[in-house]
Amino acid sequence: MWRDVVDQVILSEVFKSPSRSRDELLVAIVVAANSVPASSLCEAVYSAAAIRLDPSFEVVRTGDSDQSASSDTIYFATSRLALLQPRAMTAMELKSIARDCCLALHACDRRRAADILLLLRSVQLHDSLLVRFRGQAQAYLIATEQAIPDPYVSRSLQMAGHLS
Amino acid sequence: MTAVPHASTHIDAISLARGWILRNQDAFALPSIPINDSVLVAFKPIGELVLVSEKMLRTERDELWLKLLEWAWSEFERGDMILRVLTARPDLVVLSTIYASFARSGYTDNRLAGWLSYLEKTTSCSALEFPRWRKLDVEHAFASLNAVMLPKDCLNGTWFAAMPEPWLMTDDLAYATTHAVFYATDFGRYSDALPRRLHEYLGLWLPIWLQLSLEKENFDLYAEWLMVAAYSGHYAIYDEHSTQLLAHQRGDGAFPGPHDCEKDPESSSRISDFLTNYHTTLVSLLALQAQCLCNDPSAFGSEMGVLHR
Repeated sequence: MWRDVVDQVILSEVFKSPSRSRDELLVAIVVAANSVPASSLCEAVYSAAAIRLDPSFEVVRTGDSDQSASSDTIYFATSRLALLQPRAMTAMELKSIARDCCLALHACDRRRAADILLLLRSVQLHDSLLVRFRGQAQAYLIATEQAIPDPYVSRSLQMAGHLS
Repeated sequence: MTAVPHASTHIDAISLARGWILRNQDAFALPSIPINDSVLVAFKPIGELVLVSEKMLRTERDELWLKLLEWAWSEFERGDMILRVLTARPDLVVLSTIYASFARSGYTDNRLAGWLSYLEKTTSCSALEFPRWRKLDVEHAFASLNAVMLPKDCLNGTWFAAMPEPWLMTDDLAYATTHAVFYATDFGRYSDALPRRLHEYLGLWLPIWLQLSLEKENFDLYAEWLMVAAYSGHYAIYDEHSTQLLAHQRGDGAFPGPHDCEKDPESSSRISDFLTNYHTTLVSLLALQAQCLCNDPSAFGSEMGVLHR
């Protein structure tokens, strides 16, 4: 799963490796996030990841190509980008993101919710309702993660600093 | 897929739905049943009709609604039937809500009013164990009968007032929430009655709850959420979503009830269709009427006055 690979890279680059590696990755993912169409975004994330990964990545990429245009991909990529370089978001953007997170939680899609939560974690929220929601969502995801572990969710929460 | 709407405007849709109600008026009639727990179920369709007729008169000075109220009042034997039930079963005090609708429309009975006034003061009545939103329903009825306002903190103790995790919304909690807003705002008469924090909570999550109801094709809840949007002053949310309700009105004027609506296998197909769809059609009427508030937020704000028969 290419997401697992990218997550591993980011975890190691951001939290463990020298800043040089982190900057390299950052530049690549910034390019990714600026490519609005989902497919372009995904391509750029693949490229970013490929810089840091072994040649076998191409195999993973081919096998996972059907996901290239999904909105999940956008949240996956932008949340990790936001972790590296937080950007300001409008109140409307934040509300829209929180609503997407709510829908994901309602649908029991914890992986998507965790990606979105990571994005919400990267910004400073000034709206008390959004702060409240983020706290509720965090608590819910952590509790469900402890009850029914999922490595993907666990890693997202780990990135957000909620799990050691 | 969205169906092609039969009515292009809210007014046309209201007109179509009124036709369906008229054609099904006999199905709203009170059945002859013994006084027991099933009374509440038996009274529900006509009780809802009374409420909707009374509310529709806020904006439609139409003979139809007056005639339906007159007819329903005679079905209840001009209050006698409610009085008989309440003297036998004082715990069914929730029936005060039907009488409150009648009384607001000028249909009163001194003996029933006196009995209700006594019941309200009994220890039993104040200690009855209802869900909080249902208790608020009864408090709303008594406030109306006593011509007083509900207290500002009337929502305390409701699920909604706790601003819970929005993704944990269920159908039952949704109805608890919509009804809490109906009573607290007096069905849109006081759109600013909600505390600011709850107004904002609705503004953030109403679009999601509307979307979830639409995805489940639960137009009953969808209509109630639209009422909540308009009654709480979220007119942009109402405007953005109300056309979806129009799009799902049936050709005969009814609005389709929830798929999981209980059906009586012994009922005829006509009665079965009625029981499935009457509630959704009634609440859709109120939802469509609520468009008035988007044009004029004080549309329900002035006293309509007592209608003298």
